[in-house]
Formats: sequence, structure tokens, C-alpha cells
Amino acid sequence: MVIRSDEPGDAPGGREVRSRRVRPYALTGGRTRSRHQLLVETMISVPSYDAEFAETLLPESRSLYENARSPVSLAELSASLSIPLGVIRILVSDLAAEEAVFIHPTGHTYQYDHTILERILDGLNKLSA
Amino acid sequence: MTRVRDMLERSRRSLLAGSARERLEGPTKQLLQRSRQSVAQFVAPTTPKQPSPQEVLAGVCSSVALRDLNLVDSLLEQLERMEADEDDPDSLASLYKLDHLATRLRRNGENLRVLAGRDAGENMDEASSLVDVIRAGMSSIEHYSRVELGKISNLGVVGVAADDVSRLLAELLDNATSHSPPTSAVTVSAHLTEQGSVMVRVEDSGIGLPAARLSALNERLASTPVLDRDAVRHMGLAVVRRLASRHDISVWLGRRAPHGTTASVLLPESLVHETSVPAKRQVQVSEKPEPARAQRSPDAASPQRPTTGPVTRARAAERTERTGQTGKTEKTGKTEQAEQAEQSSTTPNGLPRRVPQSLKGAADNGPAAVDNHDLTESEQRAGHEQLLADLGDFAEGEQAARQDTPPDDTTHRRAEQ
Repeated sequence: MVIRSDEPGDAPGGREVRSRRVRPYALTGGRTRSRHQLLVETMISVPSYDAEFAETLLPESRSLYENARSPVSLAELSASLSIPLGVIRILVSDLAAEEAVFIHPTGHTYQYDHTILERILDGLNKLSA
Repeated sequence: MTRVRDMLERSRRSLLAGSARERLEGPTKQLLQRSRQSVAQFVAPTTPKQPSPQEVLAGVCSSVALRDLNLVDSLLEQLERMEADEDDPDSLASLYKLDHLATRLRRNGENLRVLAGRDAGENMDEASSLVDVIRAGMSSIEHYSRVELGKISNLGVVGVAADDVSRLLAELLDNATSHSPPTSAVTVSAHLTEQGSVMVRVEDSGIGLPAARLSALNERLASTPVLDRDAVRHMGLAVVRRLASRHDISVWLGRRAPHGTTASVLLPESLVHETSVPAKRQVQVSEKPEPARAQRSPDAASPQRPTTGPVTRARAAERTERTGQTGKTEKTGKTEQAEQAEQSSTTPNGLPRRVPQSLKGAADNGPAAVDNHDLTESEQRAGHEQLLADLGDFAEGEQAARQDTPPDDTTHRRAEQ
């Protein structure tokens, strides 16, 4: 083993990769579980945009809020804002809890809901009758 | 073997006899001496003669730390990718834990380099928003979830200092969270002072420090950084001191009412970057040359553009106004200016863009160079012709006035008499 004592400088190239400084867990306070069922294809929209409210939000939530002025899916938001889906879910859930965004129901929401399924069946029967 | 021994013996004898030494004397020795001198002239000013053992050790430490950092960076990058693909909340929570550990590892490595007097990492070109600088610091401490963001001005920190400021804040946040009750929050806030500097405050609600201890710590924070025994005990403080002195940042601790400690960080005006738009979106709007970002921008910006377009453009105009007045020539400022100048001749609809009066005034007075460059050749020629015409008119007017003067003069004199 040789230790060069003449020039104890740095390895060539310095730091090669740069990892993100703001980590995803810091954006959600470490939370990973959302209060709402939010799938990749779930659509959200802002019922009534409030510029003053937008000012109070942190950058990520703010861009979510601004981008959801017209209905948009979580997948699209994640891609266009380059925020990981896991973070988007929590932030959207937080916004929904404040009723700042509306989560559009997807087919999945009713999957195991018997009353809904029965009503749909009823409706179909009436149509055919 | 015997032959080798013979040869050794012979050479030793000849050395003793001085025949070899004699051969070295004379012209050879002179040549050697001269070349040594000339080499010394070239080399001496740049490299110190003999690094002290402490310097060597610091060098070794920072070099090892750099290797570690490269590994940690790769680890974090890999984790980022896994986190992005993870759908299951429980698995994601585990990934976050690993991410958090790796990020703290990164902080240790960077601190080691800071203490060894090296740069902790490469500087960024772009400014970071104050919120991101604070959250970056928050990301690398153990009890990050107890940090609450208070009111934070919509400003940025220049690229050369952004990471160092977040490292400095990380140490203060770590201190605050570990010396206050585990259920209490630590609040960070940042506001612009009247002098144009930014004051960042880290407030905890611990039991606070006795007055004597507080003043001793403040004394250490204000003194020039050295590596001594105390630096080992108060690693965080030593890092804060080094980073602060590197960027002319002042840091001090104070008592907080009713109880607790406030760490105040004063960022000088030179580190403050005025950003009215979050860094991310600014990139999408203004940066063209970097292909990686350009890829992201179309889908990102297109749904936004109709709504945010006018606002950002107005802000862009504001920014040119500001840079025009102060004559700042920053790296980013220049490219922005150039692009905005391109934009500013016409609106997207092809209509001539209005220029604020103050901007016009500034162009006429002093720092006109920036604006003149952006005029097309024909515009410049038109301006030149206009000027010639004006001069011609002036000359004619003057002549006419001269012709009129004699009678005028006489009437004037008459009136005086």
C-alpha cells in the first residue's frame, strides 16, 4: 500500500454524481400513507382556484394546485412536475383534506361497493325493460 | 550470488576511493545545481515545501471522504429511482428510512471535508430558493420531522453558497432538535432585512443555555475557525464556524422567550438572490441550452404557459429592469437578459412589446450597452439616420436663429437702455 505524501489532493473528478439535496421524505414529513385512495390514474381538479391560498403553499403543493386547475391525473402531475408519485399522493391527500382539490372517483372506488353495483344493475335492467 | 556480491564490493570500494565522486564534480555538478535552481523557481511558489503532518492527515481524510461521498451519491441516486417506482406505502417507508440514513451519511462525509478545509461538493450554477436550502438542511438531520417551516421569504441563495448554507443550517437544526423535548417543534423562518441581507432564525423550546455558556459559544462562533480539541467535542459548531467564515455569514445564539434558544443566521446581501419564481419553473421558462431540461420542459410548460405566461414575462421584465439599474453581471443574469431581449422585441402574437419607461430611461442614461447590442442592424441604422436628421434640423434652426439675432439683439439692447 502506497500513501502519497507529496500531494494529498482529491481523487480526480471530484464528486461525480449529484444526489438531490431535498430528499423526498422531507417533503412529506416521512409519511407514505395517504388518507384517500389515490391511484396512478386518479384524476384531481381544483374546484375554485384561490390565488391567496396558493401563496401559502410550499413550492410542490403550489405547483400541484396550479396544475390541477383543469382536471389532471396523478401520473401526469408526477411526470410534468418531476415529483415522485409517492410524494404526490401525500401532498394531494393533504390538499384534499383542506378541500382545496377534488379527487374524482375512479372505477376502483366502487369495486367492492355492493349498493353501487346493485344500483348499476337495477339501472341496466330498467334500460332493457 | 557471488558475482553480485563482488560487484557490490567493487562499487563500494570505488566510492570510498572517491573516483565516482570525482566524476560527479565539475561540470556535471554545476549542471545539476543549475537545473535544481530553475526547477525550484518554477515549483516553489505553487507548492509548499513540506506539508505538516496535520495537513497530510487532513488531505487523506478529505480524499477518503470524497470517495465515500461518491458512493453515497450513487446510493442515493439508486434509492431515488426505487422510491419513484414504489407503490406500496410500507416498502416506501422502508426506502425512506434507508434514504434518510444515507443522507445523514452524506452529511458526515461533507462535514469531514469542511473540517479538513476543502469544498464539501461541487457548486451549482443556479440559485436555490430559500425554502429548498432550508429543506435540504432539514433532510440531513435525524429528527427532521420535528422541523416546522415558518414564514420564509420568496428569495433565493446564490449557487456558490446554497449548499454550504444548507449544511450550516443542518448543524443548527440538528442542535436545536436534539436539545429540545422530543415532542416539541423547531421552527425555521427567514426574512429579508432592510439592508438586503436575509435573517434566518432557528427557534427551539428547550430549557435554553445559561448566560455564561451562551456567550462562550457566541465567542467561538465569532472567532476564526481552527481545528483544536474543542472542535472534536463540538463538531457541529466547528462546521458552522468554517462555513460561516467562508461566506461572510454571521451566526449567533440567543435566548428565546419564554424558554429555549434561537440561532440567528445573517446571510449577507451578496448571497441573496432575488427569485420571484420557484427555481424549478424558472428553469422551464428561461433555459434553453441544456438538453436534459429542455426535454422535460415541453410537457411541463405547455399546460401552464397560457396561464402563467404573462406573469412570468412581466417578472422577467422586472428582472431586466433591476439588473439594468444595478449593472449586475451574473452568469445566469447574462443569459437571461439575452433571452429576454430576444423575447422582448415582439409578443408571441407578433405585436411590438411595450417597454417600461424606466427601462427606456436607463438605456438612455448610462448602461445602454446591454440594450444597444440587442437592436438589429437596421434598427441601429434607422436610429443613426434619425439622429443625423435631428442634427440637421438643429443646425438649420441654429442658422435661422443667428440670422434673426442681429435685430433681436438690438431690440434687446434697446430695451435694456
